[in-house]
Amino acid sequence: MKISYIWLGEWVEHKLSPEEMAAGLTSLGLETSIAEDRRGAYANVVVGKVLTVGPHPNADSIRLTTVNAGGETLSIVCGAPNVAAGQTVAVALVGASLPNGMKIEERKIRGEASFGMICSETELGISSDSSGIMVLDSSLVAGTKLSACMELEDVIFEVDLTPNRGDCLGVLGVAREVAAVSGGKLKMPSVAPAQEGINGLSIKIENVKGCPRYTAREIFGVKITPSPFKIRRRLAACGVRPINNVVDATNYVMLETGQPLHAFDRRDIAGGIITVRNAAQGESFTTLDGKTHALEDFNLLIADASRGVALAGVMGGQNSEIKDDTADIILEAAYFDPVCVRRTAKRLGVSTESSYRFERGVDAEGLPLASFLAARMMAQFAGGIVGGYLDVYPQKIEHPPIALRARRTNDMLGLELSDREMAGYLGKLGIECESGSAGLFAVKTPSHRHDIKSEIDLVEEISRLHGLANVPPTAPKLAQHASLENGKYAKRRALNNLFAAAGFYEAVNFSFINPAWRRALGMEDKKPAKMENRINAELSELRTSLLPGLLQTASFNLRQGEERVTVYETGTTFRMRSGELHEEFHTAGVMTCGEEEILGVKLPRDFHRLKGVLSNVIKATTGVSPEFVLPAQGAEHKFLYDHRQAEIMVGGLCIGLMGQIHPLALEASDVDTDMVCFEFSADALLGLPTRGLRVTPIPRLPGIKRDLALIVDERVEAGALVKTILETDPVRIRHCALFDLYQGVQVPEGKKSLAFRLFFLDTEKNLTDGAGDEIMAEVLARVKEKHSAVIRG
Amino acid sequence: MAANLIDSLLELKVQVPSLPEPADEKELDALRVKYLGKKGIVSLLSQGMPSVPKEQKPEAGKLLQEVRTGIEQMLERARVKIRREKIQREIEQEFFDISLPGANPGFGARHPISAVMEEIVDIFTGMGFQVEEGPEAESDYYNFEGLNFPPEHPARDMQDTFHLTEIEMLLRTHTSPVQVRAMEKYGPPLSVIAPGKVYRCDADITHSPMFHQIEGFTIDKKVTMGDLKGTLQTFIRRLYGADTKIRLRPSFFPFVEPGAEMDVSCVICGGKGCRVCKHTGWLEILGAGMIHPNVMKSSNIDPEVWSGFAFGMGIERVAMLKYGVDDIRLFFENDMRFLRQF
Repeated sequence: MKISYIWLGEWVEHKLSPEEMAAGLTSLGLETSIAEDRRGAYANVVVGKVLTVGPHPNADSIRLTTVNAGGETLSIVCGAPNVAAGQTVAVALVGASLPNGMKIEERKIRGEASFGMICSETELGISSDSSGIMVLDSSLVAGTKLSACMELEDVIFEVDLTPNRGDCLGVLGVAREVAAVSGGKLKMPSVAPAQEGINGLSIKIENVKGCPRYTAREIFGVKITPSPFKIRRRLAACGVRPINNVVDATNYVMLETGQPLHAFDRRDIAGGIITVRNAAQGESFTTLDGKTHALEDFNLLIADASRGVALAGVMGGQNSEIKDDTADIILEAAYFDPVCVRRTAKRLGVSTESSYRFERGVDAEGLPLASFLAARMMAQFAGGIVGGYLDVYPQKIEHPPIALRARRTNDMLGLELSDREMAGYLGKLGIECESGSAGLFAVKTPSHRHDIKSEIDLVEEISRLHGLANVPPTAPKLAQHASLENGKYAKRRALNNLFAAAGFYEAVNFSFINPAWRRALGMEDKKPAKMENRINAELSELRTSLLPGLLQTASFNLRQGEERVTVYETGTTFRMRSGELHEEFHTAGVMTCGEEEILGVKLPRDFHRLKGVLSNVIKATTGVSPEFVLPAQGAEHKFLYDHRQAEIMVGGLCIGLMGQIHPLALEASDVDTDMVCFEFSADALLGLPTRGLRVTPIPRLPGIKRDLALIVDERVEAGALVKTILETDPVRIRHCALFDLYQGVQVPEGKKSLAFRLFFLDTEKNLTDGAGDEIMAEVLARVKEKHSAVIRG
Repeated sequence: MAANLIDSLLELKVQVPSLPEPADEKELDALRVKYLGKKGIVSLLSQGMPSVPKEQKPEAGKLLQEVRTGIEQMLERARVKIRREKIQREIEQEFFDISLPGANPGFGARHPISAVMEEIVDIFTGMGFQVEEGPEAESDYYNFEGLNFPPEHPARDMQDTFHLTEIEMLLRTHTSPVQVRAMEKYGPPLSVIAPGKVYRCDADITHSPMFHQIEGFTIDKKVTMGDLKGTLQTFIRRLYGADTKIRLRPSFFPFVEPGAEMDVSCVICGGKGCRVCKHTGWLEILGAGMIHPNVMKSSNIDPEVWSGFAFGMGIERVAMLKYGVDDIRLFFENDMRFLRQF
């Protein structure tokens, strides 16, 4: 909200500079900064009299003028269409620098010298009116500083108000806070008594909850013109567009008191009655902005005998607005229920200065003041005659006293304030304290502070007046809860670190995705949750898997020219199951296939490389080596190669999958490089029961190492051979590891050679070479029998 | 002859220490052959032993052994020295290119947001807070009502919300629902730090529809606003260094009262004023306050007995300041050229 320093000064006594005021308000919780500083901004702008206006020899649209600006007569080239001899104008002299950044110098315009500029309101930073030069009151004396004859050198604050401080949505409310900072008095105007009743008009409130108080005032015989300069400047400075003297009066008083007002053309109120009622379901209503709404029965309407004339607290109707020939006015000042106004504004998608204030709560007791001030302005600036006043307030809104305990206040804040200090702080805000027994107050809050409802609200008021800077910092003893820490966060973190150490870069993708990314991978087994996304409608479902997002990451990077992408992510996935949403942390990764070469040593980037990484990471995390098992027939994942996929099994539990992505899935995901991927449930992995690790004693006796090269059919799985070998003598064959795989000219077509390193050990006695030979012979017999393997000669 | 042998041995014994030092292996070999070879001097002298008179034999034998040992030791010292010099010479002369790349498949990296989040979590767990997490899709109750945001309250506008369409749920707009859940689940006293993802319908260079927050709170008997201030001051000094100042300003969040926002002295300019702090010298970092009695009541905790404080902060803001990132979208684009810098 924008607010004027000069305007504030009309409502409160203070000796604060704008900087001090901003700092003071900020320390009270009204975050205030200086948005525009016009002090000294009009140093070389003076009142001038246009003496002559003549044509420019080289241009039709601009004119040559002579101007008396107090000293020598100045020649000024002027492009404004409305310039005329005899006008009193604002002249920026050579050397002036205007609020819009323009510097005035002596210069030639189309060949003619110009010594200054006759200014428009835009150039002076007063309004957005750039239709012509600003014409001033002819009584002003040439050469007078412009800032000396009109209100210009103001400072405009930007106040970032929190939603609880509806009372500060006006000059008066902020002035109350300034009074608390400065210790100065508020300058409240006195309200002249009104003439009760309006001839030929009655008010009926059908929904008292929606509208507890409604007042109307009659003003006759106004003449619609633009408002005087001061009013227009203040409105524009606060971001409100000036319209005419009547509408401006309602807006001006709203900015001043925080109370929204509305002016009806009396001619358009039919039947001598104003009814505050709920709209009929489907009732059509056209607001001031020309939009027609189909209303619902919770929308509150101001209606005359036959139709709605305003959407209560939100916007007036087009059918009763102020027109150029409006003469008689009904001025509305009402209190509408915040929830009621908010529901209507939200439902219709309209937010106005008025609805914004009603939603945050206005001062129900402030209506007479606001109505009086606006009527006075209409009398003063529109020549109106103030007539009668109707005030319907069936049930007064009460603010019962609140009990405040001094001990409780000090305990909460960590302070030792005396009763007197507390009462003093509240007093600065106009909050009255009656001291009961020692340390107990009965506190009466003023009607404008409807946000103060309970003791804690008063504690807050005391704390902000005392100043949070004056609360001494202390170190609390932080209580631990024995059953709280589940350790999953720390374990997930360790898991993440392992992937980073294994060469993967951590990505963070949005939790919501484009369903097309998921469908590109044919993932239909989990039902996704849908969401409404007003930022990007395409990202409309919560991810059931991290892989669609990671493939987008890969696609994006490959298009940026990256050759290799190695990324992983740990994050939440979401799925619908029996009408409920389930969340699960997953870890997933994708890696472009190919080769890495380090000084001639080639390292493959493929299925088996990824399998190695996963084995290591899972072993390091759980202490158990995972197994990789081809899914059962028919249960394969469609987005992976049929035979290049595996389920990741840990301790007999399937926690996820890995594999190489199917070429068609890659194509559908806009990825043009082969990729392998994995995804597993981090919750499942980290939730596995931790089995106590038992150490195997280090053998005292040396074992025997033997190498074995076998030739088998190319379709025999190496894993099956290892299994057979180990099973031959489970006690003495301790290790069997594949170390070479060869297919080529040295072995027959359709065959491959596999080389294993075996380790034999007998914990009881030293194995002799002869015993080793015996074991090897048994192994050979078994692999020949089971796999038709022959030793490679 | 016998006297001669002894004399010769004595003479040789005196000579040994001043024998010329061999310069290389060749000279060393020559020296060995000359003295210790089959036809070497020592060998020749020992051939005279049989003719030594019996009573002088022990003396001659001892002398012969001394001479032989002396020469052997001298030769061994020379051998060690020559070898050491030879190795050193080879090492000195070698060309070795340390500029070749390290032969290692290379590490990846954690994401900067994770790194900052974990750094902050570590500070708080070090102070005694315990980590708790909560779901990212929440009910209106846990995200708003249980946190003292009544339905149709303008405070809800502070957090523009994503709603799910088929069920009555929303994506949490802050990590504060974990407060309510933890209070319900464990009851007081407790001290919790809750990191996680949050969602708001907002997107520009400083706002992302998904971002990360850390929520912290404690409930115990007689927790004060001073405790909140002390805790935050300790945290900030550990995060940004001992010279960093904090400033609390009154503010409003429905679930705390008194509520405050905390600024830290600008980590870029040290408080002198710069572009980043908009020349104020201060950076707004987090929101905090005393847990509102209504929040405690909705979790069946008696606010007359217990009190507590809570605070919450956005991680992206801290990370942007720490790494000099000026567009929040960089964190979620996952451009390898960005990720590799960490």
